[in-house]
Amino acid sequence: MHERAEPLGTASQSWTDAVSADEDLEREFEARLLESSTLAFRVAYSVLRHREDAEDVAQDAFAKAYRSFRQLRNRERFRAWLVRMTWRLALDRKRSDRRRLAREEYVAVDPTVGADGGDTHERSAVLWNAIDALSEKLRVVIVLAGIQGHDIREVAALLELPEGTVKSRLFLARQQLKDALSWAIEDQRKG
Amino acid sequence: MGDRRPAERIGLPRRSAEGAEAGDSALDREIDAALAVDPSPEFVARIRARIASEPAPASWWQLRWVLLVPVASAAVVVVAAAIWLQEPSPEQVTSRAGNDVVLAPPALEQPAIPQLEATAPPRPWSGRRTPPAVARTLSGPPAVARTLSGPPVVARTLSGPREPEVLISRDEQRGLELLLTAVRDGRITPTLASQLVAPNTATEAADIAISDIVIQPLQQFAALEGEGQ
Repeated sequence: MHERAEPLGTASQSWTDAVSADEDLEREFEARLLESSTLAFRVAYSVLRHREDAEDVAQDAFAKAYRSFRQLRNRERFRAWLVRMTWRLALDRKRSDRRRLAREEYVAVDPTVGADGGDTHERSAVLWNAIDALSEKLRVVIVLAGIQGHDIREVAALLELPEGTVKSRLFLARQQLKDALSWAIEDQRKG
Repeated sequence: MGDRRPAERIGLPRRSAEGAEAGDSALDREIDAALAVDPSPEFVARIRARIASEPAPASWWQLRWVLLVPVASAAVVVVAAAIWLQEPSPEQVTSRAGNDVVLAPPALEQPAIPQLEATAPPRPWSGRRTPPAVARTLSGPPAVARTLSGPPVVARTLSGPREPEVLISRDEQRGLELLLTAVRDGRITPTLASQLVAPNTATEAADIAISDIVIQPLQQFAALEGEGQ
């Protein structure tokens, strides 16, 4: 009698453990969502520069992350995966987005870009054009370094690249951007 | 080398080395400001709603059932196949307890034997590669192969759909045996259906002669008429 009760108890314990594991998983995902939602949004925004589109893409990325979260429980791995997935989804959206024209108009009037008047809007548009002109490898590095003040080590972790590679790419990206924006920087320095 | 840089294209002087650091910080500030865009306040709530509509990530507990179901299905199929292969052929002619005789269902592969043939008398095996066949003439084409020592059995056909057994009563079996005996003794001449002479429909029917109808008055009425006059 007692021997029969043991398997039942084991099964019940397994079920309890499984439910508890699922709850832990949900809690972990909630924590990742809270700490990484802005990161995903900004990565998408850096590609699309349209708020609603960026939110849609970030949502898609989080949905995909949720499906594979069991393999992404590590925080660093999750953030790196999320950045890459968001970036790729945003590029796909940008290529197929029929609202591209609306977005280009939106850049000129986006109140979030700056609040200093027409010059700021113009400089922001020029900056984005210069960022868009970078190669993808340089672009993702400069964008991630500009989001939330990531340093080289953090960018390297997000891209799963050696720090030296990130450092050299960041240098090249800055050089190209400075060349492209030299007139604006000169104006600012003089001002 | 002929590709001039943007600063040179627009005629601005290149920055000096001492101004590079200030340029870097200015550029970083520009980039930071361009990327300092926050999502809408409902963004996280919308992600939560989206996640809620997604199926939960599979856990080992669910994967266990995912694996268990196909394994159990495969086991059931294997057991069913083993049972099916072990059961005796339903196509053998077997006598059942009682008055019924089981005849094999017709095999679809065998060519139809339209002629009623007599069962050859049993004779010892004469070295032919195939034993003599006994035709069955009810409705199905399968040949009944005679075994060396046992009773005639229907040649087993492995392919084709299985059909229900045909049951005939003992009386019908006896009638068939009498028929076969009569044919074997020559009392009945078997004829192919295709050799049957159809009625000659080409001959013209003879004219039907119908004589004229003569109506004669009834004598009783004639007598009455005479009385009246």
